[in-house]
Amino acid sequence: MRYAQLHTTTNFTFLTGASHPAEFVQRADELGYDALAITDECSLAGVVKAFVAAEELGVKLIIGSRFRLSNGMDLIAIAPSRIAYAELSGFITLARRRADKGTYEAHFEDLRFRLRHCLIIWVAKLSDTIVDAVATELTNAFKDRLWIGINHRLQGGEQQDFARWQLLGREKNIPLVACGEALMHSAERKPLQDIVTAIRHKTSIQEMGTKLELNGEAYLKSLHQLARLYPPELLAETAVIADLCHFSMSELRYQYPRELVPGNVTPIAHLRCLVDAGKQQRWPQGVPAEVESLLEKELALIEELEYEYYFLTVHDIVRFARAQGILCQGRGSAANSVVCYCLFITEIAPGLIGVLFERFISRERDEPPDIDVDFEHQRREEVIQYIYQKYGRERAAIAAVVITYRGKSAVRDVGKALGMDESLLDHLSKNMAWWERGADVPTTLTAIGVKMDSELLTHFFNLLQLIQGFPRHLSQHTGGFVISETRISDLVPLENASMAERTIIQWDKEDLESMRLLKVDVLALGMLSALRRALELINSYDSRIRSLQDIPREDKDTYDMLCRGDSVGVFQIESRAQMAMLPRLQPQCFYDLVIEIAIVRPGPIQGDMVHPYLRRRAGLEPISFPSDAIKDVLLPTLGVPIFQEQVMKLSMVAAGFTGGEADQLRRAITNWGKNSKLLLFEDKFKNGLLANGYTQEFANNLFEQVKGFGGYGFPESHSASFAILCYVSSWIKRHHPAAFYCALLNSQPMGFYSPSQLIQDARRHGVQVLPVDINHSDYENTLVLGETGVRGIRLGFLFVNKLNTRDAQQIPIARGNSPFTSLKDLVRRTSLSDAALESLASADVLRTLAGDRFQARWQASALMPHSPLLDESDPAGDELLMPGPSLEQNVLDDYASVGLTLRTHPMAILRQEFPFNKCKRFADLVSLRHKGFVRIAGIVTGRQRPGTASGVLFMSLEDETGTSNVVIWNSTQQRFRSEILTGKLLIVKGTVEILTEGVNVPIVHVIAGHIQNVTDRLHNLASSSRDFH
Amino acid sequence: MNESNSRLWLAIRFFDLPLTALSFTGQSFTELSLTSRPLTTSNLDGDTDKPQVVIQKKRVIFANSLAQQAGVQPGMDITTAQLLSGCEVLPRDETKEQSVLHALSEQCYQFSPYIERYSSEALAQSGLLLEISTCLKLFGGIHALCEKIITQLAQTPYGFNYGLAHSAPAAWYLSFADYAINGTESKALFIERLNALPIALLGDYPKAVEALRKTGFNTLGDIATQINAKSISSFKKRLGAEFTDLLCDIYAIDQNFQQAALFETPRNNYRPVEWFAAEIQFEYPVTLVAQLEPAIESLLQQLSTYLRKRQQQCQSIEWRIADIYHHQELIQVHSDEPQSHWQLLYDLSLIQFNNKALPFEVDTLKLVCEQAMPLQQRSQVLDFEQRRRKSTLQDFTVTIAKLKARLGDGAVYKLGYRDSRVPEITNAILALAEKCNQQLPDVHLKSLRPTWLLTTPELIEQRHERLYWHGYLTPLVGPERVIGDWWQKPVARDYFLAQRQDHLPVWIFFDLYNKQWYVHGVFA
Repeated sequence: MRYAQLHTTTNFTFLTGASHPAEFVQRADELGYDALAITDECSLAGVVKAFVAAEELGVKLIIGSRFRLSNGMDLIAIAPSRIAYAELSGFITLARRRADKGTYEAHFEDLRFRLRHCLIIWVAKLSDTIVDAVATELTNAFKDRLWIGINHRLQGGEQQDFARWQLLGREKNIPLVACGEALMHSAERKPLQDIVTAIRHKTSIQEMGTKLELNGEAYLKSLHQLARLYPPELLAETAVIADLCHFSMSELRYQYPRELVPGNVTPIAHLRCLVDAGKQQRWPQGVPAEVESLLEKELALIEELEYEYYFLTVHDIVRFARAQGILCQGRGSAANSVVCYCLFITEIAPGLIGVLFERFISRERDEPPDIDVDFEHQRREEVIQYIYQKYGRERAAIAAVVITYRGKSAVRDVGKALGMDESLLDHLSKNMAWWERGADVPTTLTAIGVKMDSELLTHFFNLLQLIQGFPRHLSQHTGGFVISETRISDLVPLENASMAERTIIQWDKEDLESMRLLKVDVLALGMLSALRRALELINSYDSRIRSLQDIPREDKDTYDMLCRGDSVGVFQIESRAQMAMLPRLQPQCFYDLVIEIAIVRPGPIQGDMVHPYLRRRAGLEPISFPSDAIKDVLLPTLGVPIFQEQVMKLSMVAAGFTGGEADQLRRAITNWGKNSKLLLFEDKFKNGLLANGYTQEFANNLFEQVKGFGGYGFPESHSASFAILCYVSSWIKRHHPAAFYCALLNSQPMGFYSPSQLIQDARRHGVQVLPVDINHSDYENTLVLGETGVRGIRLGFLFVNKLNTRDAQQIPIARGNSPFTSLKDLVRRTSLSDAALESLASADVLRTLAGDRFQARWQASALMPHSPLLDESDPAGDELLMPGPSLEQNVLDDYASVGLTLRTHPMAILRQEFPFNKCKRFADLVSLRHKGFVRIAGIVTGRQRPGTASGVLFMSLEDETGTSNVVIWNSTQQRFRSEILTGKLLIVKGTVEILTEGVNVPIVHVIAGHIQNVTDRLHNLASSSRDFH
Repeated sequence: MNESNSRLWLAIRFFDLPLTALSFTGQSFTELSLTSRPLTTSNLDGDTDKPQVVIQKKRVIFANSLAQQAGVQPGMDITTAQLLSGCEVLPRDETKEQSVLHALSEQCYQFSPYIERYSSEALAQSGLLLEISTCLKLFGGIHALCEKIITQLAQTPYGFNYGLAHSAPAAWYLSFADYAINGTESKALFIERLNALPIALLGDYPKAVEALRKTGFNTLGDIATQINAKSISSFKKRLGAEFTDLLCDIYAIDQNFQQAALFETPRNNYRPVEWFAAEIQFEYPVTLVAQLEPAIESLLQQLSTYLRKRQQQCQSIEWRIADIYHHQELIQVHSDEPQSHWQLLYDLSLIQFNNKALPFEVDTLKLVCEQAMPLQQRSQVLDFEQRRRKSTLQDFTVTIAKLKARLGDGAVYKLGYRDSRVPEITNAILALAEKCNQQLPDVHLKSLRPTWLLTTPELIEQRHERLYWHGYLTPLVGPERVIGDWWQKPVARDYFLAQRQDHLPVWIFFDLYNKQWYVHGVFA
């Protein structure tokens, strides 16, 4: 018996289907179907995933979509050919674009002219009143492309209904076809199907009643079951339809935009021309021979694989950004390409790292390259608008991100659908997100006193497992653009994003990769904004520094600074873990930074585990290589594989892999744990090593090492791109600290640290920071020349809380060159609202006009709008009698109104009192005895609980001398959970650990034993903590 | 108090009312014996050893001492509170709080005719304000009166603090300070005490408090100093008239300099709850219900007159019979529809009395009606054709009322539709007053459903490999597969329309779990 499943709703019809597309394909294969049609509702979002699975299993995949028309009819449109596919994709785009995000609007009238090649199945519904006229109209419109689909689901009244449809089919000459809807690949998914339906209806299953499916019959049935449900002719008709379908997703050919190539030149010639021009600029003294040969190799492969247009497109975007003065830099695997370097897409010169072009493009992989370009985060929108303008909205669209169910959202939605108490779910999801992550959840629940019906709890946890990874909705990718020569909607449907005037395609990054469509990543990077600002500031007083290229390379002072772990604000190496690693690693050159960035990964650094690289670097472990070939690969990292590229090279030089195979091995390693593809390479890898004369033992060890590497392997090219920005930012910090901190503060929010922490660090580096002042500040922070000739920072109005940007920007304009003389003068010359004046007064910005913040506020709150007639009519004798604010009050109000203080640190004030006078300061810790008792106090500025650190919680406590690192083991967390959760000011008793060996600056941390919450001593200090990033 | 014509306010602030009010069950104001009622928090669920919090809008507004010890503070979100203390979370019931305040006002009415309720939204605190200046002589002075009030309220389960002052808001704010009352207080002393209070107590005016705080004001005294040195108008233009009026109220500042008495805020006369109570004492001991009938009729007619005069009606009355030895028995009579005429209540009362023999020789018969409601102004529907239906409805109401009186409330119910995939669950037994779902979903328009659905499906025998239920059954149409309720009692059945050999159409199913056949209904 032949059968094709023609009505399949996957979980990409969000919150309706209860199985993944691949699960349907696999099941269809097991059941021996002729073909499987994926017919999600007005969507092709799941077809690529189904296609990938179908290709693997050799299942014939049919592409279609179901529509619920505005007149209530249900239709399935199936694409038998490429042209029909384009029609279908265009029709979905039409229906989606005319409705709000996540919905669609399809009309019967649209069908006739829009779907001229698709096959149409009119799904017979039980409650349909069959209108003769509709049947006639459908027949006229679609003629022999029309079927009536019978969806036999064992519902009441179906038998009688079937007779009516049969009669209609005979009368109108419309064939009937078996068209049972499948919402699940297996009947066991019924509970999950009910749950997602309840989530869609925003209610619980108990309240759903008949809105739930009557039964669990909407699954893929065996041929035997089908034979019992449908007459043979209806089943045979499915095969007729399947035979009419010749379209395969592999036919989708991507056409690159061609306008970037001048008329009479071939694309490769144009690319060569650009590369030639670029290499002259890169190597004005002459291009080294090895670079020339690399370029030839790359260009030949680009020409062979026809990727010229892709490089030209990215080059065009980067060229635009540079012309506009927008800093940008390519990163990731593209840094392995010399062509990208010559096109100024990346900044990694071939000599800096071991360039491995196979990591970027490989013939075997047959996948398009991926170039990620970072732009300044505050100016990326200009680049996006340029792309839209150049290629039009029909040809350029942003890729989707499939938002899927993970931890918190799953707990919340599944719990609600099961009718569980909302506050309990809130409690659970917050707990599970970080606190009890990975713990035995039922035991944890019992421990925190949650009593639940155990059966419901069992359902809850089973469903939580099942729903993990289920798509919930489509969202906008951070910057992945797809640009094509013709309409994108011929390839993939577009729909509205939540952001106005944005459209997204229905496929995500993985789908694009699978379909070999090119995506250009236009990403935003805060550090690029900060660097551009810093360069502008430096250039204002030092004309030698205009761009990143003007920054001296390999500056010793810069590396010395980093060796001390002095890296607050520096790109990529400012985290607590990175700062602890710097004194151990002692970076002395650019390549050390590349290693530093790659080595501090969650895997190797947590706990007491010290990376073997560090041991070898410190001379604690011998370095040996079994062969010269391996030595060539691993020498830069002292025999320890650190980068993904090294594993690729190893497999190539020692195990005889081709470049493409090596890249497949790299991918298998990256995905190690998700699937077991890595083991497929085991034999080949080991045999290759044996064939090259290595011992069995060595082969086993190396493979184990490669396997273990999966957790932390990082691409060298990626790390190198970041290392450039890391070095540049470090250099600016070292040599132009005022410009560095000023630029960072103007580019917030970004990085690890709050403005308050950055300013404290700036002052520790001798940068004078002046408060916001009505007569001296601009909107942004500015550089000022101090009396001693040292540059400092004047804080800008942007830090004043509740002061809107428009108000803040008009003050310096209104002020011009004549300072305000009084509050009335300020009101007369600006149009500041009462609220704005109050914000300025509260922030102590008006002190030169009105005295302390109490007086300023009192006066500001009674100011009337300016009127020439009433200019002198303010009643006298209305001054405030209250004494001025105390230092403590000022500090607290500074935090509340500006988020930072330039006065004394709150801890310095509290230090006068008990018990703070018994606590050690951060600066004192280093002079204590290793493993000795210590008591410290500080404001909590960060809590971090890395997933791989076996439950250890790291906390940062700030005092007037710096920030102490506190390590809290699991048992201590359990005892002091409330203190850890709610404390803003803590006293920690514990033991101090000081590492001095092999480092030039001791590494100090405190192991907490007892934690006391003394937040009430701070009153309402508005300090912000960076938690659980 | 030295100034004889000035006012004196006693504020009683019930600090734990959000929690304690939750166990308030009392309805009766006639027998307000609060101490006898199970009102303590311990009776919320019989367990006081655990932290409890009361929440409103997902925020803690009250935490009991155990919760507070664990670090829970008002204003915290529920999740943090639960993480800290594992506390029981109870939603606030403001209606109950008002009921308690009502009952407490009734208690205090004996001490003063001027009683006001006061609630602070920001602090989730409520209480009573008693103006006592006119009652001092009657109760023997400030000290004696206040002690009586405090002693009386101390017998209730509600925790409270009190404050005495020259104005209502001043008394309320002083209730947050702990001053004993000795009877020699003066206005100057009240102001001195007020001056020490923090401005945070004015939390119902958050913007003004924030503005004051940011200008350096910490206590009410700071405000007083500024007002005394400068003028109240400087506050008015900055913080608005409403807040300035409050300051004037607190400090009894007179903003109207001429004929101040004309602008004096009048005191509210407390109006206690009215209820009907009348009794008849018999000249001889009554032993039979029949002998009570004339008295019942007479008392009900009095009630009827009482209600009509006030344009009121009632739904519940209470009969109290007593003998000369003070034995008492209560008989409650309830009607579904509010009544102002005595006839139906008489019929219902007789049913209740006839249901049981008199427990003793009755000396007194008392009728109490505590809760009367205003007569609804009902618009008359122009329903010429359906007059008979209306009278039928009236008869139906009377019949239902009589049935309920005779059989009890639980015995009279109606059937409604409950939306479910499982047939036996679709029949819901509802109380008569409940709304019933009349909307059948579309699925039932097509699917077969029997006229008579058996509450419990009956097992079908298999005889000679055929189905047998009072005759052989032949399945005709089906199956309709029903699968559902997997989260509580899973159901998986194939339903068929079958015909019994006597041509009776029945609804049968095959249970897919236990592989048995059942009859579930019979078609008409």
